[in-house]
Amino acid sequence: MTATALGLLLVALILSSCGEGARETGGARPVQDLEAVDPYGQEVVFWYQHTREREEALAEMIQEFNASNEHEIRVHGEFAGRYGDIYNKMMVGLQGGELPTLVVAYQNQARVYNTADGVVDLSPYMVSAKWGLSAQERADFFDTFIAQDRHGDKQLGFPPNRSIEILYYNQDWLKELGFDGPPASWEDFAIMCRAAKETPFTGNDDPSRSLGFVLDEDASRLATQVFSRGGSFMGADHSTYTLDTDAVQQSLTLMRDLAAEGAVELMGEPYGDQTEFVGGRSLFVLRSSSGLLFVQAAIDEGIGFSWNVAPPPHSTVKPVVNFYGASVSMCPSTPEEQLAAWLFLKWFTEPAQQARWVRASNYFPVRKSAAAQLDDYFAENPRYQQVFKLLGYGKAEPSAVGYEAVRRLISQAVVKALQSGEITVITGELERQANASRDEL
Amino acid sequence: MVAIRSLGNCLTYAGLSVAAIVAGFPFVWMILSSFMTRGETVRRVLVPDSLQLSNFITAWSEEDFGLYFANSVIIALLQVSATLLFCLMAAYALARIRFPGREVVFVVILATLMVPETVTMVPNFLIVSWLHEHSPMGWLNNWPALTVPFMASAFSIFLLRQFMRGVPYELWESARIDGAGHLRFLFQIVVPLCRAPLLTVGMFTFIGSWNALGWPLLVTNSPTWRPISVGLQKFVTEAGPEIHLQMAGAVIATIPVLVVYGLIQKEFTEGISMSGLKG
Repeated sequence: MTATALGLLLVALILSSCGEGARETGGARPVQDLEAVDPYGQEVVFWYQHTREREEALAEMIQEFNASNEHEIRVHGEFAGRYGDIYNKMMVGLQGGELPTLVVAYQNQARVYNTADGVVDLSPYMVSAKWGLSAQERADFFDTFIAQDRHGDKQLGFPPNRSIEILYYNQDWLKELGFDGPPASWEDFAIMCRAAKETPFTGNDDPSRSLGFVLDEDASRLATQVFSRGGSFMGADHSTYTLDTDAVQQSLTLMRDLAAEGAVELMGEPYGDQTEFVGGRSLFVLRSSSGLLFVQAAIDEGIGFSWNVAPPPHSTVKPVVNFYGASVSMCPSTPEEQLAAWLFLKWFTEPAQQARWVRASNYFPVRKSAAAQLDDYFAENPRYQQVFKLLGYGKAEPSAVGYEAVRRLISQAVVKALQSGEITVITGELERQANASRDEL
Repeated sequence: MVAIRSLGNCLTYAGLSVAAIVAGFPFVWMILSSFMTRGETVRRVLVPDSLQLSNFITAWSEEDFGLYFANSVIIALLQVSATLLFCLMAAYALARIRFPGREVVFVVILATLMVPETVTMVPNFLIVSWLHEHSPMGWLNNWPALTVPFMASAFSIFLLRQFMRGVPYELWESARIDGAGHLRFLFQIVVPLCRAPLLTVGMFTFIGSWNALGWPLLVTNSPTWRPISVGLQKFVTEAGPEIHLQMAGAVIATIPVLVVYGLIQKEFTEGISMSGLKG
């Protein structure tokens, strides 16, 4: 059974049984006077998804926090699987009462937890005179990142980092094809993809396979294309899904047509689009900016070619980039433990820690002033700096409850579009299903 | 007539050869990839230029693989031993002892086969959580949560029962004349006869335990008792997979299964065919 199906079943099971007495922890205990709470000696459990270098760096930072904080708070970082695994673990934990103090969660996931009183509103902590953020500190955060985690008057998560989706391109191959630079518009993109199909890259070990682009059916890839055409996945009031629009139809039509010509292919394996790009078999890939170093290493150890990154092609006046990233949500516990968890979050998002986390993870910081401490990193990683400048053009995907299910519908629609082709029928049905799924919740 | 038979044989062997290649290719690919550099996995070469034995050292040393491996061995041994014991006794009772409601009990056990594992995950977790809080020994983050819920299996009971029904009644009568009760008859007469299906059940249980991922992730939060499947997952980063290391880890993880299967291959096949499960 796939992780997707597993997730769906768990959500259905748990939401259906979230009645009275379903949960021992029963939501956060109200904090009467936050200023009087003493976090001394509290233990904080933090579930995350990081592995390898990022996990090592995070562990070092946690160790430093544990050794240096004046309240002798002890944070225990625990790898809890990938995002989907953590979500399942949380959904089951909401029933059994086994929850961490902090958990990595996408915005829509935090909203689902919120429906079962599984997350704590961080607003009181943020504005607390004693423990919160000063006005200057608050202004230092990228507003859009903080706003992503807001739900009504509640702050359901706090962003430790973000990424944006960018276009990676094979510079050498583009030159071989006679192009000066990356595509500015989707029309240019199509022309370049067709050219790549006809003329394989000279560094490609397998010239029989030459593509312009490998399309990952993931909803974020479609969101990038739609945003760059001025579209959106939800209406301005965030109440209904808008998936039967010109922007969605144009995006799918272009991909379908290019696929029919053999210039674009649907991704057949996890990370297959990236693998084809670093292998010199695909001219472009749309991926997260956090993968810059991974792509660099894979190209250097592989066939080695010049590459660069650019904002996705766009028909808007200025580029619009899809930004995303999981935040950290707090689960209900005692006021003391919650405060301790907040103090760790606050420490982690201080500019010095942010700069350190950027170096380890290649994510974007959430504090503007962190950039001042990254001059050497920018110099060493000019592509990162280039992408960093795009932060101001970010637009986020919906964070509505149930968006997880809509993402799956979108993926299915992308596959259908590339296989069967009647785009208006597919987008019409997609919008209907997405809104029906929202209505059910 | 001979020509037609030869042609039939040729077609059969051709079909089987294709099936063998299709089934075996992923395995061969895993082994070859485990010896490659990351660059070679990216270039999708089929055979590595030189054997990167360092992948195995890295895979073993970097992600607590030794600990995960040991955990998997302990968990699998506990689960196999307990499953064999409990399923053997349940199957014997259902096959050889007449008691009121026997058929109903058997049907209920069979019905549980129709319930997907995912559906039982939440109730299982709630039970384990309750036991964790109400028993002197912690269940979560410990071996009981990883083994006890899987110490009996409807499929294993069914498989053993099917075989035991074929044990001649005369053997039981002879044993009774010699003064044997059910337990003695079971362990001294039936078990030696059931070697093949028991090994089959053991093999299935071992593989199931060895490959489990979702449940161990749910009930453990630290590496102390996490199995090797969790270790393998750590070679996939958010930015992309380190295929060469992941495959090296997968080869290490596959070796015990292959060794066990190699040792009991004959009995395994026999067990499947004798219990009436063959296609």
